Amino acid sequence: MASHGIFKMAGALAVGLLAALPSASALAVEAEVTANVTRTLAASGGRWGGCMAQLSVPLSNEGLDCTGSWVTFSCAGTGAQASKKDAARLFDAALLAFALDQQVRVTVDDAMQQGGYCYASRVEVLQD
Amino acid sequence: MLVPQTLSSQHLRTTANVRFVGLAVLVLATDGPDQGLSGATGAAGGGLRACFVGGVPMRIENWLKAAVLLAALLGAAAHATVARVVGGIDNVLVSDGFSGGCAARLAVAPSTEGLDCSEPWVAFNCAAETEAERQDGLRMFDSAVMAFALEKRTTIWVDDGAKVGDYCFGNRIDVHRN
Repeated sequence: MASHGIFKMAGALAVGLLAALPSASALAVEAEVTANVTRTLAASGGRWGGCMAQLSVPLSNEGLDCTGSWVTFSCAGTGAQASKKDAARLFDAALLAFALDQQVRVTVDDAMQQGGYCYASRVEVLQD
Repeated sequence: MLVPQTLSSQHLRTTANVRFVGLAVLVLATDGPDQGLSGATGAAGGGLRACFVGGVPMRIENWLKAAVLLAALLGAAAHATVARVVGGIDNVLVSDGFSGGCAARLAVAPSTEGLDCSEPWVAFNCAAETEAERQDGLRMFDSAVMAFALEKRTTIWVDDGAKVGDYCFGNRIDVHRN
């Protein structure tokens, strides 16, 4: 009888531990990625959020669950992220870095995506 | 997914709406910034063939349905084509006398890629009626101006079914580093 009680307790403990484990969807990662901007994209109709930048490093290298090396700023305001004005400013910074061939430090959050492409919430243009 | 876009637009051309070619239909699919255009064939072919399987006589309403479907497909054969035009920007234009408000003259004329565009200019529609479309146009034009100033290579998706005045509409512009 005593051993039966121990098994019940162990079972309850195991269930409790499993419930306490975070679900996979909650394992979002936010990372700072330092890279060059290798390509810019501006599109009509809100596709890909309307504007994107391609970085010189694959985002998965930084432990992010993002497609390829593109980030969106959501210039079209189609995501639930920053306002259109914020997005336009982020994209402008990316264009500046691209034009001057300067590195950027981009904060990328893989919990916020548009069509599998991760959203960048901050762009810092670095000086050599 | 990660296909470098160094291919000629001639190889990448597809239709924006639907083109009736025998029983094959090309359909536009946009699947990501690295590809953007891809073709799929036979999307409606099966349906049409089913109308004539074995020459079995069909009821009049089925013939009518087939006729309506065929008419719809042939109507869509006033096919707008979207093609990638890879090259540079030779000139940029801003004008309130031009209905689109802004345009870029491409180093490679869209007509060389099989597009029905009479001019080498592509409009971005900076003077569109809606605010969202205007913002889209201005953002694309900004990229074109940057590419022009820096003499960067561009890939522009040109739609000959969406004309702005006499110019074809550019619905996406990528500026390349090299």
